[in-house]
Amino acid sequence: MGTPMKGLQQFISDLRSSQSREDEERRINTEILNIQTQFNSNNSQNLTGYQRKKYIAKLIYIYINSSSKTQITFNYHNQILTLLTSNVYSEKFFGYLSINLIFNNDEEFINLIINSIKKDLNSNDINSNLLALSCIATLGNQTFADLLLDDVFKILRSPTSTPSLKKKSSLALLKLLTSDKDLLKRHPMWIPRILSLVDDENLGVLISILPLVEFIAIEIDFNQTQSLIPILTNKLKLLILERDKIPKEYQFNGLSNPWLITKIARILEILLPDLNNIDLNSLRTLRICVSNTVDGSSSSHQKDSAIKNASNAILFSIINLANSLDPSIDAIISSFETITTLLISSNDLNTKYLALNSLISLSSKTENSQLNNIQETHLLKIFQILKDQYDISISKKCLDLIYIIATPSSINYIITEFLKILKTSDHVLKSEISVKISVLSEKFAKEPGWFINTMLELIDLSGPYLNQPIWERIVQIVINNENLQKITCSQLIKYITKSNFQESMVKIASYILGEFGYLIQDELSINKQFEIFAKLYFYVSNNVRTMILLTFVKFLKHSNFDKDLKSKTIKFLRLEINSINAELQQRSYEYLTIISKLNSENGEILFNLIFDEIPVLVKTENPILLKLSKTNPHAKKELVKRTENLADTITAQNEQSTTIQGIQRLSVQNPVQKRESPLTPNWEQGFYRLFEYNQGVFFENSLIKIILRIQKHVDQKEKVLLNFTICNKSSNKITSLITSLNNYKTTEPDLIINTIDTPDSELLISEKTNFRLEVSLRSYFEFNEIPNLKIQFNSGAGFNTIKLKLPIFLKSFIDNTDLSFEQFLKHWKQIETNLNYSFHKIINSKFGVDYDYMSRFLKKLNLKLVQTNSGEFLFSSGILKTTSASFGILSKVKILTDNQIELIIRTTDVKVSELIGESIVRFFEI
Amino acid sequence: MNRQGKVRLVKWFNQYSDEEKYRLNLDIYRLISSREYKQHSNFVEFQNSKLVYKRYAGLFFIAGIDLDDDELIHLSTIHLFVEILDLYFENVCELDVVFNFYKAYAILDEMFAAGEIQETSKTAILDRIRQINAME
Repeated sequence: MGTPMKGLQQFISDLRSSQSREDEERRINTEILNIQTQFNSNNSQNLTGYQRKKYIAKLIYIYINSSSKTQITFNYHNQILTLLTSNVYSEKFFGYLSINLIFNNDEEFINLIINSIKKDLNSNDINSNLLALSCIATLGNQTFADLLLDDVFKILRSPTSTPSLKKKSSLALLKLLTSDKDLLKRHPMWIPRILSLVDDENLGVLISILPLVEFIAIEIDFNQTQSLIPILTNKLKLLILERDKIPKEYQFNGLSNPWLITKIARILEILLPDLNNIDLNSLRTLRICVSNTVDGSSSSHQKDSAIKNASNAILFSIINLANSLDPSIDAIISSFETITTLLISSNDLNTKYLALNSLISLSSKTENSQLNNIQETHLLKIFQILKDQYDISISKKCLDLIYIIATPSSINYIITEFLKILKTSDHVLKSEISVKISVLSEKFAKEPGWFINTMLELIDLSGPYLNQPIWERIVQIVINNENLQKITCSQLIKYITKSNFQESMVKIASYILGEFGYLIQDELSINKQFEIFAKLYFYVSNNVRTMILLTFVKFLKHSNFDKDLKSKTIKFLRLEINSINAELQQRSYEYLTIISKLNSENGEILFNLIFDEIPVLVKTENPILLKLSKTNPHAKKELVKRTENLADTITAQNEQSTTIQGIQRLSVQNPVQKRESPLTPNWEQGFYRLFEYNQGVFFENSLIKIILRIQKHVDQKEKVLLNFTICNKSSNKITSLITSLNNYKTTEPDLIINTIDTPDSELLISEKTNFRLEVSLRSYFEFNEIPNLKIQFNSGAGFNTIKLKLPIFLKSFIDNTDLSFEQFLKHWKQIETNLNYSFHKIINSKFGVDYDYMSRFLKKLNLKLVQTNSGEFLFSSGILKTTSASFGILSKVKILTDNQIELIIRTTDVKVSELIGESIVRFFEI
Repeated sequence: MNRQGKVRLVKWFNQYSDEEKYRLNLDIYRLISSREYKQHSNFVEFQNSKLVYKRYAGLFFIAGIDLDDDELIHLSTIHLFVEILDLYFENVCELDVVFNFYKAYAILDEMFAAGEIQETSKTAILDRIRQINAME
């Protein structure tokens, strides 16, 4: 790599001998200044390659070792470019080193040098190829892929490429392909050529190609990769059974190559979800490999930790493979026993950690009760490990394992032990354990009392380390379960009157007692309950105080506005009316206002309406599960899978009572619901835009944009499709997106609306979702019959509701008819003489119109213009189709001034004339 | 990274800004240095990944791996890297890495690419490094 750079060595020594940090920084800054001067001087082109390389090397050293304080701010891109294009290897090397390390996020600069990389890739010099490939393997992204993918693949497939080139190009290709998973799908011919490289004699090439194979198996083409099973099996056989044939350099301290074995075992595991695709011969060979490895492991007692690690790595990966080879229960039990023995006998922490990991994955693979029994016998030992543990990684694994193997018969023991550990554990573990306790006790709750006692004890013990979702969940469950409410109230009173009460307990208590405290009036009057909270009020944070204020008001309601309680409540509210806490101030002000209206007419009704009982919560999602999913995603799948069906156990038991309550409440709330909330301002804009055009922006605000396309059904003219596209314009993810129809007549409707697709409930930034409604026209409808579309979603912290009138118009159901002028006049007169079904109006348009505009407008109404010589009138005709009838439509338009239009509509039904006429008038006049 | 948290050799296979790199280095150092060698395993979860690490004399060798990656094999990889450094520098110490950081990078690049292991043969790696060294 060229002659040693004395200047660099000197610089590093200087830094090392610095007396203080300041001293060191001074030296660095002087050097940066010096390099800057050298690079910026007029004759910087005259710097020798050696000098340039030396300066860049110093800058790299500074960059690696610096804290964020030292910033190299001047621009030396040109110098790096010069190094990159140099013919001297060491200069090129430093050029690439600086790019890989320092400029890996400077996209502009990287785009600038990408051509230089391409040149090196195609150069005849292998060393330049390798440097370029290495850079691609480090920085590769879509831009790289667009320009370099073919070149990299060419090197990988060239028969003349050396093993070095094959190794680097394989991994560089992997890096490029992962930037966009569709890339390889565009080159299906590449896949067999890549897969065939597994047979390369050089084991280094094999190591480098396997990650690419794994990627293809998982992401691109599982079927083609399956064809590798026999080859991979043979490789494994070579590595495990015919170790002597492996070149010595690919052994690791006497062991066969652990990297190859673990990787191949892992790929085989992916390729063998069941045993349908493996030939008997390969299966037999693999089983021999497994038994050979497992037997070998028990006899070797390695002292050297490096060898022990490597041989355990082999053992664990082979055991995992064994479980896919023989998924019978006996085999799994025997694996379970082997690993448990390892777990208990080994003092090595790494082994313990991995043994636990294996047990978790084993346990989650089977639900067999037989296995559960075995697991239970080991429960004691696992708890022992948990208690003796200092290492949080291992403790967490123990918790996960216990969580997975919990059964109805062991749950009492587990919860009791967990609660014991909770008292002494540190806060990270506390939070982990409390989540597990709450999910488990919900899952296995045999009786409500046990559940509530466990949860309240949990809250009492975990104190400030409690996760918010846990107390929220308790409140959720109690509200939804009538038979829990009373006993929870009594229990809560016990906990909050303790001298060392927990604040989160007060939160729950204020919520639950406010709602249901009246249920225990016989034991403790509401006045007394009030007194308890009045005392607690001064010991809790503002956040809890706001909750207690509401509790007071609810007490007031349940006491039937007891005078004494009212004056006490008012006293508290007055206390906070000047609070510096905005929330407290706001609440007390509002509550006081409502209380002051109590004596007025309807005051009590208003009060009861506002402080009505909390409705049954429909959200079944357990917030604690969200918390769980933040833990290890590998275990997550299993954990969540196991909780899904059980989280509802409690709720399900009481479903019946829930529904009854729900119905009762509905009837109470009905009068309130009748008051329709108004449409979102500006709804008209999109509504009338779609009257004129069949496609366009229906609604837009700062968060979302809704585009709508109205499409006629090809055959059934009485049907129309509304295709909506919602785009997320905001800078936040949109969640809980729901659409619904209201103001929709369900009895004898004139319009039948079917939802064909519903939108996705989540939208990432600038993502879109589609949904469709199908509208059938049964009969003509009035303007105020048009249903509203309600769109609700969360964006950022806010909940948004948008309500818009659906753009459904009679005109969308009109089909044009071809009439000659003579025919038109004949019908026109017929309607005039026989029936007076005429709509006649002079329209004062808000905007200027002319004949051109009007003829286009009539066409957009799906009316067909009648050819005449008259320059004065526009005649047009069409047919309105409903599922039951058809109506002929004739119209005559005259433009009086540039914003006055005379419109006459004659149809075969007086109401239709009126409705169509009015809809046109509305368009021009609103 | 040495025991004082000074970074001696680092390679990022994902893109981070300078500020993120600095933060990550600091957080990783705090986490690793707080773990006692005798009471803790060599693995610890860190943000959405796992760290596999081992201390050799004054230097921590740390690899960040995916949550579903195999820990032990990466521990062996770290050991292999140290063995190769040891062979190349003949009884390697922190100072060798400090003064010859670019050579250590050359070794790193022969052993890894795209965050995957590329070669495990000491002979192959050292031969290649010697070849590079002989070049101008």
